[in-house]
Amino acid sequence: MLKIEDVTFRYEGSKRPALSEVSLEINRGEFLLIAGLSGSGKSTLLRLLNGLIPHFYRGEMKGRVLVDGVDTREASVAQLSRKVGLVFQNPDNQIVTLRVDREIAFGLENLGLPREEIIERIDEVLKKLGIEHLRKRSTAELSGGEKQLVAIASVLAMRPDVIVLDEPTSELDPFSSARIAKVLGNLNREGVTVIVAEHRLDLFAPKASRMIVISNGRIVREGHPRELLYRGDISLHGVRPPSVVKLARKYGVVEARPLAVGELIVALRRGVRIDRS
Amino acid sequence: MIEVDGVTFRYEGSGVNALRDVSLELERGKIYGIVGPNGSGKSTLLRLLNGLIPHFYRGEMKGRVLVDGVDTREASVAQLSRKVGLVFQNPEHMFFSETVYEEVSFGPKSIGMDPEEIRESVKWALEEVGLWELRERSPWSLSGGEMKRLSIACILSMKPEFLAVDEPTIGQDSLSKESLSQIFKRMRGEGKGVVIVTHDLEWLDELGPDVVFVLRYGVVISRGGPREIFSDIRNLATNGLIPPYRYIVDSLLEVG
Repeated sequence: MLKIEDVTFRYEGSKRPALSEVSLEINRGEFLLIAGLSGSGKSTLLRLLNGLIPHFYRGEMKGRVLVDGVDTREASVAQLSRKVGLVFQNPDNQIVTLRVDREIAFGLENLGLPREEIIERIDEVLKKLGIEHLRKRSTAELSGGEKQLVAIASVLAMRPDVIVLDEPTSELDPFSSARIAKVLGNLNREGVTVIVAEHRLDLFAPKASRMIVISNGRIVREGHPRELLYRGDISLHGVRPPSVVKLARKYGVVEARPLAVGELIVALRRGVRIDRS
Repeated sequence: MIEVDGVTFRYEGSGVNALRDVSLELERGKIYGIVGPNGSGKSTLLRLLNGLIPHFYRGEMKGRVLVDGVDTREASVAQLSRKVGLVFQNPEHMFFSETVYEEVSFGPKSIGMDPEEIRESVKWALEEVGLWELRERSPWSLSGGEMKRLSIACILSMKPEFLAVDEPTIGQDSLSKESLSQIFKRMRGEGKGVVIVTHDLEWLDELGPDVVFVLRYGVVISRGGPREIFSDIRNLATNGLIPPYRYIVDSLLEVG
């Protein structure tokens, strides 16, 4: 459904391309985790998917991006936003109104939906994300984690096929971060395609169905996170496997390839039992 | 040495005390971790160390803070900045110079260092964080990790003896986190005191602080070496903190 075909992109004023010869196909229902150091090209890749590149960011682009067969250069960002919803790193940059329900209504009003439908969709997304209690709250008094959930809610309310998130937890504390990862995992199970660029592999690798690593504007690794993170001999271009992987190595349960703490514990308990028998 | 002696502080307009009867001592040549849930008073404690409280933030303060024996109320923030440098969570919001070099020179100039000393300390600070080669670049052209290191250099260039840093790893990738660890360890090795407020216990554990303080509701509820603090899983979890994974695993294995 999303297809990046041999794209090279250089921002205006920059000497080096931010992405070089990138090809990637993303299918419906996937949970794609994009890893890579800061400045590796993760955000640029995400901007391609909803047409922010080349519509808003100037530069020189080769290759093409297809969303459901439509070249993003031939569609407007408004059209694309109904297919691909983008959540930014810092929710403060995304939130524009003073109350949570109005915030979620904002995009829907711009789509010209009738009032009843708007109310229905607000109910639906608040419930889906488990934040019904925030409905009438002032957006100014929300915590960072709550703000990010509201930002996700307002994108989801547009019912995009794909939700794209650029480091959604980078400004959040660990508990709020874990909650965002959980919410995205649930959405994905319900059929939403999730694409997320993140440094917190410990939280997102267990949810992802596929992972790519970007380095210097190129996709350098691709595969299931279990496969990539346990291929010990290969450098992940500065991306460090999460602690669970290190602990699995330390305790010798690499065969189980756990990614979540729970999986590690299960593997360890089994290991212990086998040793004793 | 910094002595926080029985400090209670309430921000003007707030109904609750941000800190309640906090006492602790911070020495040179050590790394301190300050951890706690949102709103526990961590940032307030940092502001106390370099005199931003009570000089800039209004409120009601009891107790006192002594920096090398001098009460922070009796010293100016400019004087204190040569003793205690504070790196904010998002200092990159404040960059305004055209080059990295100028940005780092700003602090020393504004506290009246002489030109020779400025040149020396700017070079030292930039080398310390590995940005000397990028000194002619615009701060805005730097990566997130480089910006974070630049913000540390801006404080280091004033040659403080204590470095207090608010959430340094937020939004940083793994490589940047490692280089931050190296910078802080080197500071400690050079005899500076490093005070770090963080939610990121996984990283703090790898950094290896000498002492960890746990704050909640403005009170220091526990303090000790990292092993002692981190292995008390229950204490951390009930206080809104996620313990480093290796301690979670250890404790679950013991129970199992």
